[in-house]
Amino acid sequence: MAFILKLGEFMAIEKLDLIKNPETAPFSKLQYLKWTPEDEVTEFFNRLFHLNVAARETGDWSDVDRFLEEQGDSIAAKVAAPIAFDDTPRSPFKKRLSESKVAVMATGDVYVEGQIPFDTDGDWSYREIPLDTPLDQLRVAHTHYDTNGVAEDVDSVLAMHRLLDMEAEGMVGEALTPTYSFMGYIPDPSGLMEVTGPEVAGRLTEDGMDGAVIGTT
Amino acid sequence: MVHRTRAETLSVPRGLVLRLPFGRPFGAPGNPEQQRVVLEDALTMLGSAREPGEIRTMPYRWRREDYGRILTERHGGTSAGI
Repeated sequence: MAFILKLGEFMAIEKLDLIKNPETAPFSKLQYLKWTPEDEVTEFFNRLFHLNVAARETGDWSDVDRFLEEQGDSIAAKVAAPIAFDDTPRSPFKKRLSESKVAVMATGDVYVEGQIPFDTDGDWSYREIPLDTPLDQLRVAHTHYDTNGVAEDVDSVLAMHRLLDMEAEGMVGEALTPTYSFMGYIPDPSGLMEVTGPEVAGRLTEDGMDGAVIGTT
Repeated sequence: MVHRTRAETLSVPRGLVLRLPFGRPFGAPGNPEQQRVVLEDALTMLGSAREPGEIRTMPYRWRREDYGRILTERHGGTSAGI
C-alpha cells in the first residue's frame, strides 16, 4: 500500500510503501485492507480523513495512532480469524530465571543452510537451530511478512544472541540449544497441533526446559 | 506478539503485546537494546504472570524509546553488557 506523502519542487510525488516500511508501525497491519469489503474500506478512509483533519488542527495525532492500531487489529482478526480455545494451558514457573533453562523460539521461518526450506504456502514442520550457528548459515523462507528485518538481524525475529547474552551475564541459568523454528503461515494447523507441536514440546521437556518465549510473526 | 485480540482468542498461557511492526517481534534489526528489553520482559512474565492467559501490553514506542536507558535503570548503572 502506498500513500502520497509530499510534493517536491517540480510537483514530483514521492511515494513510500508504508506496508513495507517498518518505521510506520501502525500502518503495517493495514495490509489486510486488500481483503476487506469495499464499503468497510470506504468507511475506514472516511474516518481516517476526519481524524487527520482534526489532528492537523490540534497537532495531537494520538487519536489517529489509536484508530490505526484498533482498526489494524480488527481488520486482521476478520481476515484471518484465529482458532479459539476454551481453556488456557499454563504451567507455573517457580524457579528463578538465573537458575532456569529457557528457550527462545520463533515462527518466522528461520532455518539453517543445508536444511530443507519451509514451504511458503503453509508448513507445520520445524527446524532445529543451534544457538551457535554462524550468522552466514542462517536463512529465512517466508512470503507473508517483511523479511528484510530478519535478513539483516536474526535477533529481530529470533532473539537467540540476546538470550546467550543473558546466559553469559547469569540472568538466565542456561540458554537451551538447539532451539526450534516454525513457520507462522499455516492455513491448516492440524499437523502443528497434533504432530509437530507436541513433538517439539516433548523434545523441550526432555532437554530440561523450564520456560520458553516464542516470537510470533 | 502484535495483536492483543489474537492472543486472547488463542488463549496463550502468557502474552506480551508490543506496538512493533509485524515481522519484528523482538524489535528492530540492529537494535540489541530494544531486543534485550523485549526478551527480558517476556522472560520475566514467565514467573510474574498471576493468572493463566494473562496478557500485558507494553508501552514501548517503536523508534522513540531510549532502550539503553531502560536497561541502565534496570541493571543499576550498566546497560546489561550490551
